[in-house]
Amino acid sequence: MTNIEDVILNQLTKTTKRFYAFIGALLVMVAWGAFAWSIQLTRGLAVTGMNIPVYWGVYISNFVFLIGISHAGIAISAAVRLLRLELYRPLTRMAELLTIISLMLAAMNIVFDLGRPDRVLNMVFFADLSSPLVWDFISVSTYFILSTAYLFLGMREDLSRLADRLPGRRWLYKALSAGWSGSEQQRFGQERVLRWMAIIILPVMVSVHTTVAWIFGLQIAKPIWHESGLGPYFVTGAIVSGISMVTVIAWILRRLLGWGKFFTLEIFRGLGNFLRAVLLIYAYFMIAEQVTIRYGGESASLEVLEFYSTGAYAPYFWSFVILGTVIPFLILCIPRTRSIGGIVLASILVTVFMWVKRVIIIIPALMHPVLPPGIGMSTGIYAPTWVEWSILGGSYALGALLYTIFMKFFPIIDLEIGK
Amino acid sequence: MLSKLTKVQAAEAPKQYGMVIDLRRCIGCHACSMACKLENNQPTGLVDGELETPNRRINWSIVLGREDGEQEKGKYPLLSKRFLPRTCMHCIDPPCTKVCPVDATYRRPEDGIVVVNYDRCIGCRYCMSACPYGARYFNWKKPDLGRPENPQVPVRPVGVVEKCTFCKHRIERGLEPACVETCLGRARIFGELSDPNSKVSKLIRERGAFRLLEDYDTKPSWYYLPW
Repeated sequence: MTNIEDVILNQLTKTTKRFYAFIGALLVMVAWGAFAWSIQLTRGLAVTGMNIPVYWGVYISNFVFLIGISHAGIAISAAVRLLRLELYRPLTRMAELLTIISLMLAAMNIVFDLGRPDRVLNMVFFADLSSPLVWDFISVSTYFILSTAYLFLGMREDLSRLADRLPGRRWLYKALSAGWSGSEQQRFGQERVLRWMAIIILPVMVSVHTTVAWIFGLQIAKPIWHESGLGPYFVTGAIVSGISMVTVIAWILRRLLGWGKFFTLEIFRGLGNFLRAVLLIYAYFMIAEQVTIRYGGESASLEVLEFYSTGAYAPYFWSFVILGTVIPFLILCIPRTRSIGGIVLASILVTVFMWVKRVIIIIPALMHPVLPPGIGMSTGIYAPTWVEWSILGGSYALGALLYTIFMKFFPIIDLEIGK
Repeated sequence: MLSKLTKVQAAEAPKQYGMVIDLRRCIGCHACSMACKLENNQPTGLVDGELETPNRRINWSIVLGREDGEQEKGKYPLLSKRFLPRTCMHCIDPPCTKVCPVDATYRRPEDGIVVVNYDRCIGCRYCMSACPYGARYFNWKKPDLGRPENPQVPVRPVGVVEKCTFCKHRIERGLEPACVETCLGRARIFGELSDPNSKVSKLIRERGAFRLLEDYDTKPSWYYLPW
């Protein structure tokens, strides 16, 4: 019993050279990203690949992707609590943390995209409720606050236990545990609050990605976006990429910390089965989109659809279809490949190609405005520059850094598991 | 604020300015675009070669078309060429103002001109994506005019969106917009749509005027008299 707790605590107290090397590498990447951002800040968005009419580029695509990633974390955690899925309990905290950090990165990506990041607070002071961007801002902030509170409340008991176990950091854990005594009454009250929060978080989560979709889908002049199905399409994609990302991180923790007894084959099988199901729903949405637009043949939508499925973006689209859906689906179906390795491989493929899919959703639609551009201007050129890639890389490194530092101070698995 | 969510807001302004373009008179000389650039402090796009691509230029006023002959009709020697000048359409139901998260762009209630508050714009470019006409422009870099600026018009800072203002600084002084004044073929007629007896209102009634992309129901206050 204490053995398992010791294993978890070891992670907090024993720091290897490899750890410092990893932190150092991440810091270098963050610094490089900050340098690139400073160039963008001083010279304007002209240093990116964005132009007329591709007003949004990889920052916004990446924002959509990250919001998607944030979807699995709290969902898993809430489902574990509401449906009493004790098997998946080891995933809860690491998944919650993934939600919170990916939401932070998503917000950062919006700031990278702004022409005037110095005025970002205008979103608060002058918020205009008629804008879907404001709906999204409200919805994401609510989700972020709820998720953080949920993570924190769920951790209080562990914090007070840590205060006893690690005297060196007692002050920190004592303060953070916020008066946790472990009395029956307190336990009961907390469980009730967390249950209600879990119930509230699930619809908020759906609203988050729906409003993200509506940023695009409510624009009349982008026919391929202006579809009532865009919200559910986005939400499904979010769950697909979120679940696969959780699987990948669970595997990294399993490998890195040798935590095979927490992240078991059974857990990976369960995640894989779920991923298989949502992947199928996502494929269904894609087929529905293709059939509707091709059969109707309305030229403005068809132009965009053909651009990405048979035109210039076809390599990206078909690599998503084959490597991001068909192959992972087969891996997750065939009993022989449903090992941890296979499931993780499928998840890595899905995560990477879902990112590509986000780009395919956003950029081709912008490349095809309904009116031709002026004489001397070309439509639809977009290639991200090194500045954009550096900023993206730096922001992901920052995310990994935050995740790693969190793991050094707080147990990434519920100590309750040890009981 | 919330009324913008529905189409109901398209209320008649007490005064509504509008433009009529007689397409048969347009010779595609781009004088309107040049006059607009000089009047409204837009970079000419030829000053600073670095970071400058044709797709980043600021052209409040532009002549639409492709250079692939699509706008030509007939065969030599019976050949005619068509042009479609466009600026901001100053829609009565503008899709751009609805999506602005900070209310930095709005339709002025007194005269129906759609304007941008350059001091509030956060540069998210949502309005640009929402505009079906591509009428909005972004300051991808610090503007470099390379010439003395017109003191009546503010020079926009880097990172904000801008567009045609119907030359509101000129209208307020009783002048016509710069593009109208300069038009060689006198193809542009500016006036009050709200006055049924104005020249623009009469032309629209008598000559079967059309508007761009009427399907989107944005109700532009720009009208074209057909070729």
